[in-house]
Parts: sequence; structure tokens; C-alpha cells
Amino acid sequence: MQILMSGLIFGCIYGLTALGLVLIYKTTDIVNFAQGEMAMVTTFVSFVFLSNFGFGYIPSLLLALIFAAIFGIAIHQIVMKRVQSAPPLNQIVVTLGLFMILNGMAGLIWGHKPTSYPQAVKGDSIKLGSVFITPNELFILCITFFLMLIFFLLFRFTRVGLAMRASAQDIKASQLMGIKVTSVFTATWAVGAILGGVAGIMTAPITFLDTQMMFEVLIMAFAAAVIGGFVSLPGAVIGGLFIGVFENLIAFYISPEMKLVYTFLLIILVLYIRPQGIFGGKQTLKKV
Amino acid sequence: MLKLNDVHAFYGRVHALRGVSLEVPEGKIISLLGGNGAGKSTTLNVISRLIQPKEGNFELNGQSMLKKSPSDMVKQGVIQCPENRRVFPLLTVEENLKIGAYQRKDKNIQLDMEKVYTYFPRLKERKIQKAGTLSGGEQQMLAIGRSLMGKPKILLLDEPSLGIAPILVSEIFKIIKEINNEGTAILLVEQNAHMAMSISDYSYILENGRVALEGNSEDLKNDDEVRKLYLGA
Repeated sequence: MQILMSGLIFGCIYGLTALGLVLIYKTTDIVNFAQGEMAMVTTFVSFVFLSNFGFGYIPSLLLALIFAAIFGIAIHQIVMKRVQSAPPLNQIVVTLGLFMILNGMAGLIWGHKPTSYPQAVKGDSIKLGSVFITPNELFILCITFFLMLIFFLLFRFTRVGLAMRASAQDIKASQLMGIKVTSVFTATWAVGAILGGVAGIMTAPITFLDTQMMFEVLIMAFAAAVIGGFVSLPGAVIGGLFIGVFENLIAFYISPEMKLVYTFLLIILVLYIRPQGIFGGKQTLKKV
Repeated sequence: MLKLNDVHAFYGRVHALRGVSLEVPEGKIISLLGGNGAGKSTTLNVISRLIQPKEGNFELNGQSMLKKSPSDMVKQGVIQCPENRRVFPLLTVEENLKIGAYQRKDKNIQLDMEKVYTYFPRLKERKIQKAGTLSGGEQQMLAIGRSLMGKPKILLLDEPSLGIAPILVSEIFKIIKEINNEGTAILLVEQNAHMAMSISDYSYILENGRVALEGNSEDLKNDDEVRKLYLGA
């Protein structure tokens, strides 16, 4: 039980990162390999607010998320907008380039020494039935489900959500209906960056704060997205939870070093048996 | 009210329009005819501001539109119902209609939706169905309904008869006429020249990106040359 529980906590983080990936892919058709690095930068910014300015946890979190939104907007307006109609391979190379630039810049600014990062909520483990859970882990669980709920409502019931879903399906038809597709895409990048930022800030207390912190998370998030079918938002989160539990089981029963290997095996297996993912529809594999 | 003057435009690298001039006056149905690749859809896309012409003028009520965005055109009431319907397949019928009213902020949206449902009662029955599950004819009705939700002053219809059962085609054309009777001007692009000429007031025939022939639809329809070349009779 305890293994399942801690798997779920990691799963939430993977799920949040995957949610950002899938959101951006679903709407703008771009696979954002820089998602993890954008999250890492946001996490560093939050740390600057925390330690250099001495703000509290919640104000720092909110300020960092505002930064994340602006950061996402800037990335889209300055870089991604220009490759929107480029072939997918070019887009992938651009996001990989962003990945390396962000990673290098963060290293230059903040150095490469891992620092510890405070938890959101302090306190001793609570016993829930047969499992122990720290308040911080509980916080991660809650925030993941809260964000999922928010996104569900946003997509289903708001004008912007409707415009996002429409733009994801048919750019030309959306333009003809008066939707400013570029602005919708910019908003998507902002939201994607915020989701990544939350994931980063949740990751930092567990892994230490450094420029490499999101590498493994991003790989797991990709695995989660693939399992979820890469276009389904709930699929991404459920995929994340599944990967988290799976990884923890492997680490416990086989060996911690093998968890990445088995995760890749799982991706291959899923792609082999059900290439559209478990939650993906027919139209998933549009290209590549 | 809408006027193109000697418009040249490229579609990719193809010189698709080589000097098209046409006019859509208030309240009329104008048909734009011609074979595949004659430049009909390109003309509509110039009007919807998806394609920037290389040369020439495009005016709405005497004002140049060459610097406007596609969403500006929708705001001005120039709305295109694109070729092949292009409804949003994963949205429900009702959501598709809501998207049509995306630019509007007034309170009559619900009323206009009811009106679309009176034009096309089948859509009302399928309100909560995903648009992708509709038949071709129903999707065309939805596409037209979606454009109506934007309160068009000029409706640009691109091949509404394409790939649709003949019975539905006449039903759809009847509704197009009705929409026009309520005051909306229509620019109708069609391959089905006979159908188009029978409901339009004036027709332009495009050939290789130029207006090859124009005139009152009634006159053109009875012209021997036109009958032979375009109506296949």
C-alpha cells in the first residue's frame, strides 16, 4: 500500500508535466521538448523569490506562476509562432534547441550545485489507514486534482476553452469564425508553462533544485502522455499516476536502477499493442 | 457593398488570380462559377483575408480592407462557410453553433440559435451529437448554420452542394434563398452552375484566374454559348 501511495505522489508530478505537454500538443500540434526546462526555470525563479527576496511560500508560488505565464507567452510570441506552419521535424528541433538554451542559461545564472528546496507544507507524516502520508504529499495530491478540475471546467464551459478546442481541430475554420488562432495558441503556451511550473515546484523538494531536475520527470511525463494517447487531458493525468505507481513497483520489487529501463519498455509495449494510447481516439496519430 | 478590383493573388506559387473584379451589392445573390482551379476558392479566401493579394483593391462599403485580419472581416459581417464544410468534428452540434457566434457579445445569440434550428430542424434533433457523426448533408447544414450565427451581412458560400445527396441539395438551396430573402447578401461559389444560376441574380464565370464572362444569371442561363460550355447542354 505504501508503495502505491508514494507512486501516486510521483504520478501526480508526472501527470502535471504530461498535462502541459498534451495541452500544447493537442492545441498547437507541437511536441514541446522544452516543457521540463521551462518548468525548471520557473522553479528557480520561485526560489529566487523565496530565498533572495524572502517572500513566503504562497506569494513566491503565485509570483513564479505569473512569471511562468509571461515566460510561456514570450516563448510562443518570439520563437514558436514563427515555426507554427513549419514541418513537424523543424518544430521538434526548435523545441530541442530551446531545451538546451534554457538549460545552459539556467546553469550560467544559478550554477550547477543542487540546493535544497522547501516543501509546500511542513509537518510529520499522518497515518491514513495502513499508509503514511506527509502533509506535503497530500498537498501535491490535492493540487493535481484541483488543477485537473479547473482544466476540465475551462475546456468544457468557457469561451476560451471552446476556442482552444476548435483551434485544435481546424485552424482555417476557426479563423473563418473570427477566432484569433495565434492568440489562442499564445494562451495555450501560457497555461502549459504554468502547469509545468507547478510540476517543477512540486518536484524540487523531492529531487533538490538544480538544472537537471526535470530530465527524468520529462521522460516519465512523455511516457505518461503516450499511455494517455497524447491528446487526452484526463489520459495524461491517469497515465502519469499509472507510470508513478509502475515505477515505484519496479524500484521496490526489481531494483531502483531499472525503473527507467522498464518505463521505456512499457512505452514500447503500449505503442506496439495500442499505438493510439489507452485513451486516444482514432484521430490521434495525425503525423509523425 | 463589397468590391474587388483587378485582384491578383498567389496560392502557394501558383498565380491563381490574374485580375479578378467583382461586386456583391446589398441583398443580392451573386454566383461565382467555373471549373476546378479557376480561382473561386482563392477569391473567397482573399475576401476572408486568409490570402493577401499581390495587387488590386478590395473594398467594403468604400473602405479598403487590405489591412484587416480574418477576425475583423467576421466582425464586419463578412462570413465564409468554407468548402468541404469543415465543421469541428469533435464538438457537438450546439458547440459548433456557439463557435459561429464567437465574435458576438450581444444577448440575442440564443434567439439566433433557435432560428438556425427552424431553418434546419434536423440539427435540433442532433444538438448534443458530435458534428463528426453527422451525414454530409447534415454537416453542410451545420456549416451554414454556424456561419449564420455570426450575423452575416454578406455570406460567402463555398460549394454547398459538394458531395451531398441531390434531394438535400435542393433543400439547402431553398434555405439559401430564404436566408437571402431576410436581407443577407450571398456570394455563392459553385461547380453546379445550373443550380447556382437558377437562384442568383448575377453571375461571374472564372477561367484561369480571370473573369471570363459575367451577366444577369437569367440571361447567361439562356445564352447558347454558356449552355454549351458550362451547363453541358
